[in-house]
Amino acid sequence: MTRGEAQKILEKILSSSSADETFASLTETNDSFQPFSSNQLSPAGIRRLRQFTITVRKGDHVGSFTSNKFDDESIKSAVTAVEAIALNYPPLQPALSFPGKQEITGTPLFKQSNESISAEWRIRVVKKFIEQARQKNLLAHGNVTTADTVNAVMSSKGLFTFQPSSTAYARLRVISANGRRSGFAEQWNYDVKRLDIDAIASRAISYCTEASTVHEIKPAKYDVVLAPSVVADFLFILMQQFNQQSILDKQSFLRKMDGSDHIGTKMFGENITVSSDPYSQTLPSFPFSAEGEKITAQTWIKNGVINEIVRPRAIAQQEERSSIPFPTNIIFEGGTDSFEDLIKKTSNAVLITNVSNLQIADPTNCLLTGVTRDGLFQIEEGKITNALKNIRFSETPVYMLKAADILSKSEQASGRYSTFPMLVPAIKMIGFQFIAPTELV
Amino acid sequence: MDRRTFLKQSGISALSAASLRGLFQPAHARANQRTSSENLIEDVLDAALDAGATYADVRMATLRRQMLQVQNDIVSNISDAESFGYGLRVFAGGNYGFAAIDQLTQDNLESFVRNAVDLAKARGKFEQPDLSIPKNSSQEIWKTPIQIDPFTVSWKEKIDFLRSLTTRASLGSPPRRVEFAVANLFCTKQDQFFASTTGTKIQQTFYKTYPNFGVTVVNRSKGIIESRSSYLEPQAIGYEITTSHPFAEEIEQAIYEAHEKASAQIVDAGLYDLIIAPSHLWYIIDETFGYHLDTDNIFGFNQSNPGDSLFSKDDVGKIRLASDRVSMTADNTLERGLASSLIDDEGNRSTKIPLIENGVLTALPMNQEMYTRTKWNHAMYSTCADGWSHPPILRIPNLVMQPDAAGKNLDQFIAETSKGLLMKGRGSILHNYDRKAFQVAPQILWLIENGKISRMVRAAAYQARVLDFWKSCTAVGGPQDVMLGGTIFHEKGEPSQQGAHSVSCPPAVFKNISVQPTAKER
Repeated sequence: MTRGEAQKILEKILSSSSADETFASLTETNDSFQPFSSNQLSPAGIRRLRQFTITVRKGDHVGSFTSNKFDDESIKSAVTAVEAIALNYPPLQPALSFPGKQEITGTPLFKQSNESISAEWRIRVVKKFIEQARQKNLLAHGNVTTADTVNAVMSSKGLFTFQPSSTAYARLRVISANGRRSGFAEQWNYDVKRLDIDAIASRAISYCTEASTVHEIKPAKYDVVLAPSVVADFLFILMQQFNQQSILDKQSFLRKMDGSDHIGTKMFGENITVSSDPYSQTLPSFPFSAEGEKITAQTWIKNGVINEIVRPRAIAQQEERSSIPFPTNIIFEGGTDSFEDLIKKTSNAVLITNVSNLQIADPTNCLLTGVTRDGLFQIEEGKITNALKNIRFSETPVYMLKAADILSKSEQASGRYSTFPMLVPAIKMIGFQFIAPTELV
Repeated sequence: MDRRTFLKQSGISALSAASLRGLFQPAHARANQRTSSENLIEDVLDAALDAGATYADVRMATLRRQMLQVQNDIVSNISDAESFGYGLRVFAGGNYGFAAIDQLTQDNLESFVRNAVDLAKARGKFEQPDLSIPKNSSQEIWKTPIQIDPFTVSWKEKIDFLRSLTTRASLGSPPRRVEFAVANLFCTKQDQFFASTTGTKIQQTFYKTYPNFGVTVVNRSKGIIESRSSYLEPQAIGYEITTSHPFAEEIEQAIYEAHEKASAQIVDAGLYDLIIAPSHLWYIIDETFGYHLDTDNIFGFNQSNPGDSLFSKDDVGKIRLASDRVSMTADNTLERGLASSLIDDEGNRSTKIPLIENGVLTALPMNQEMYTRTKWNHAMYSTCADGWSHPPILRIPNLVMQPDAAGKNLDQFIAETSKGLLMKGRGSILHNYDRKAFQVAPQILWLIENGKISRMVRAAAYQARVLDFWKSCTAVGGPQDVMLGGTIFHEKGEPSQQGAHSVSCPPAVFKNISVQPTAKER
């Protein structure tokens, strides 16, 4: 779908509505997936979907309706449906006004059309993963996907913005035949040509097979090195609390006893600076939110000081301030050593490569419980000496940032929980709390 | 070859192919010839055969979904969405391929078909599971039997209904006071037309309606908050469920039980005989057996770890999963069953089959690929796709735990129990990492002492290993107390697909189960 086609469709939808204000979002997704499990192919597919959501405001009433039928009659009945919904919703005082016209420059998220990526390419990647796993007598699970998407929004107040993107993703999890050890690695990129399939395979397999002896450590506090994928997961969850609504709901570590926020408090060391910017050269991301707000560069933590938080539109309108939408990427400035060099410079620590089963035990300090997963190791004098049995932990990302001793150079990373682009370092920290053994592999 | 030639060679003459098409024409298309959608589908199937497929089927589906929530009489959520599209499965080059599209036209039809065929051939180069092709060729129309289509009911009427539940809950001062009442209504309708190159044309319409409520009370003197939610679970039924289910009675019961719970003592640790009402038992069947009866997990096809299944494929017919009182069938013809249909999404006829006979595993659900791998006779096709845009995958069928024809009722079980707990409602479950052991905190627990219900207890959880638990089942109730439970939010697969299945069961008795308190009295 081109920019012109999107504009025409959105104009048609908007013109069918006579509500006080109308907002419509349009999404086109052309994607393909080839998951695999236990060294065999799972059901796969290639999909082309196009859908819209129309939101109307009638007085103080707001409602939404989603459909993927674009003929005239269906759009008319979608408008009828959404107006009925709006009138049945209790009035919001005051109802939010939709964003008006503004300049939102697109970001370079579309590298090449993945439509030209053949099914054969995806199967070849899966074949490589499976054959390498088989060589080491391992079972391989994972997925290889490619997608082209287009997102566009338009409001009756003059907003129109259009953003295409392309993404490619590959994930490999390997498990030993006896089910006692595992390894995991994944990558995604806007440019399929930059996916390093060999690196994914070798990382997952090495986490599963490196150091043949498996020891057990007792619950206690340990110095740890957190791989970038773990830092990405912890930081992603922490960022959900950088939100005025969470503070009001008493679900954020940034809430002071008197109910105000911690903006201006120095909570972490000088080495902690976390920002976001859709126009980042290294890791661009979506420049507008689902509600059509422009996303601007923000510095959330500056040299350890809490600097800014998300301000949802409803609160911003009440306070007569500008809204600050949730970011679409996170950039955590790191140090100079690579992840590998950080390990080499570590005399004694536990290396955590991945985590899972995360639960928020206490939102007021973002306390998380979970288990280590897919590769836990002892580092001694800069070398991996033993593999370790997985163990349960109870720790907060707040402390991760407070006790961060050394940061490696930042790299693009993702774990089981982070869902948007993140640039984060590996972190060596002191006193990470392990609490109980687990049999989970 | 084109499909008309194919049908001819399959023994169906050109004349009968045309008359077959004439036989099946949905009412709205009788006046004019086939709809443009059906023309497109015919062309898609022809194109698939031309591109080298030996089999193809198309599911054209419209899905409508509504959710409504009222909290303390105020509408807190209304959502409404519809979706329409085509899902094409082809068998080419020795394997399956799948493609889905919503804006299908003559212009993009060729590339749509090519996507599916190329995918199948690419997969075929890597694996050739020698899959079998469905042979059926029937033309039928089937609908979930309902009285009222929930999508003909206005929002006002639906809101008034949910408000009547929360208002009824909120009426009343202490000691009957309710702090918070919530009511939900979830409705779906799926119209699905299935057509294949073997001549099958089947139109199915599926309805699901699920109203529920929850009440929360507070015992201020003890600082305890307790809730009790409705026991009615989702069913394949129409809007008539909102009047046929005795909500007024159940709300009264729920408020009473929530207050009892908020002033109850914490359970004493120990071994108890559990008298499990069907409102709790269906949940335990689903959570303890459901995962293991999904055959994909046994074969490791669901990204599971080796060693996580309770039994292997060679255990069918041999392994004892429960006491000889326990028999279960898989039944996708079950009335009001969430997984019930005429045909599944691979085009196979829905049937029923005994899964567990007197405690022994006798069959498993499967899909076409699995049939070819195993050549099982003791299996039943049970596949479903979550809408037109997903490929069909193996799904847990409706499970029916057979009542004992001469079985006792709950009152009789209670009268026979000297130290036990009557358990009702879902509760919450924690599974061991390999799903072979579990711990459950049921919602409502009544202490039974010397054949009588004495008082309510709270903060209790029972633990067991799955097989030990089911082998301790000493009695199964009669048909008079059978209840239909079920779930519509069961996630599986990548991309994630939501599945729905029902679980029907009577009450049952489990002896000497360990129960522990989950809190301390203050």
